Amino acid sequence: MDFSKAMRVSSSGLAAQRMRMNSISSNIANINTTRSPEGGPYRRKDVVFEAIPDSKNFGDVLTTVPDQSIQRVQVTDVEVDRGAPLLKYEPDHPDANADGYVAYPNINLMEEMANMIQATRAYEANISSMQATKDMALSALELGQ
Amino acid sequence: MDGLTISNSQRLLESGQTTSQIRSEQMKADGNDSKDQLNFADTLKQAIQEVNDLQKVADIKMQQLATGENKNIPDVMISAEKADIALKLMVQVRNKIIEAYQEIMKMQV
Amino acid sequence: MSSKMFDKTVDALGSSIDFRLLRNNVISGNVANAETPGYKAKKIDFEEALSRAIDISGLNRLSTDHGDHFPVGPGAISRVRADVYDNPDVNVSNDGNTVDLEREMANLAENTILYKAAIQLINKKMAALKYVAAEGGR
Repeated sequence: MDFSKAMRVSSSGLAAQRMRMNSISSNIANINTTRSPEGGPYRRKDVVFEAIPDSKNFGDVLTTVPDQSIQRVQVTDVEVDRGAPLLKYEPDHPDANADGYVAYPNINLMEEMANMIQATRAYEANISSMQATKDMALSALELGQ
Repeated sequence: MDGLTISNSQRLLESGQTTSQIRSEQMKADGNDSKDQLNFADTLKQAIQEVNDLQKVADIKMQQLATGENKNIPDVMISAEKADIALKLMVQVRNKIIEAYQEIMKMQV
Repeated sequence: MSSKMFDKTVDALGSSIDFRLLRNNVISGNVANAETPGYKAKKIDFEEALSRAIDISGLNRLSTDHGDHFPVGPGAISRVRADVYDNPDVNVSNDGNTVDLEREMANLAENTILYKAAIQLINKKMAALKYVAAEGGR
């Protein structure tokens, strides 16, 4: 029986949460960034998760139905926020526009913190899941002892 | 003074005997049983039966654990251990019996 | 002869180990996808099928003519198949995800414990057989 499938699935969860943390950290760090390479203020980034069936090769597709229903998670896209930026009146700022308004990223710190906590929790859950799988595999070694 | 319990009174009504008469009958019956229990073969059979019963009970509990019906793990473990110990004891008793038999066979008549 | 030596308890425990591993995989999938929008939490059932196979596998008289009928007869335990499906008994959150993380964690813990218990019991049974085989010769 296959322990490696559960390991792959759990590690995909860990990777996905880590990428989410990356984007959250980027959002928090750039909360006041008014300049960015694509012009205009920094725009909030968010990851998009997708569940895909876990199969290493074509042979896996022919396995039994229970194995096929197990899906791992993948980050398929990084979504860039297209909303309007926050405008603040600062006429002395070097990036102020003609009316004296500076465009700041529309990032809510509380929301990002909440997302961070959620990502941490999900990461820890995946770690527990992986520990449990490892535990089971190790105790299977004791069969016959 | 013989007490009149529920079980006694039923028998009194049915048989019309006094309690002391019933008691002496019972003692005679027990006496026959105890003579039987001195029989070695019966003791052995009884012991084997007990070991078998313990094994069966432990087996059923283990099957229930496998299907998730019985999640009381200490209960299952204790039953399994009881069956195990009973089996080991019986194996040792068997060994001793064979040893004793072989000793007897060695005796010069 | 070997089918009488290793009785159906050992078969049942062995099967339960396989199924619990499968359950572990399903739970891992649910946990990894706990935040994926539209993901439906999966559930696996094997208890009833296994319990039926254990009770019935002693009856040699029953026969089936179609593969979908309940497995019966000797060897029924090894033919039990688990059922993986979307868990219908869940709360849907606003992005369509139905994974209840706390419940998955609880299931994971219980599953691991029963798995290890099954392994220990198999060991115990094997040890008893080995004991009888070794000590009986003296």
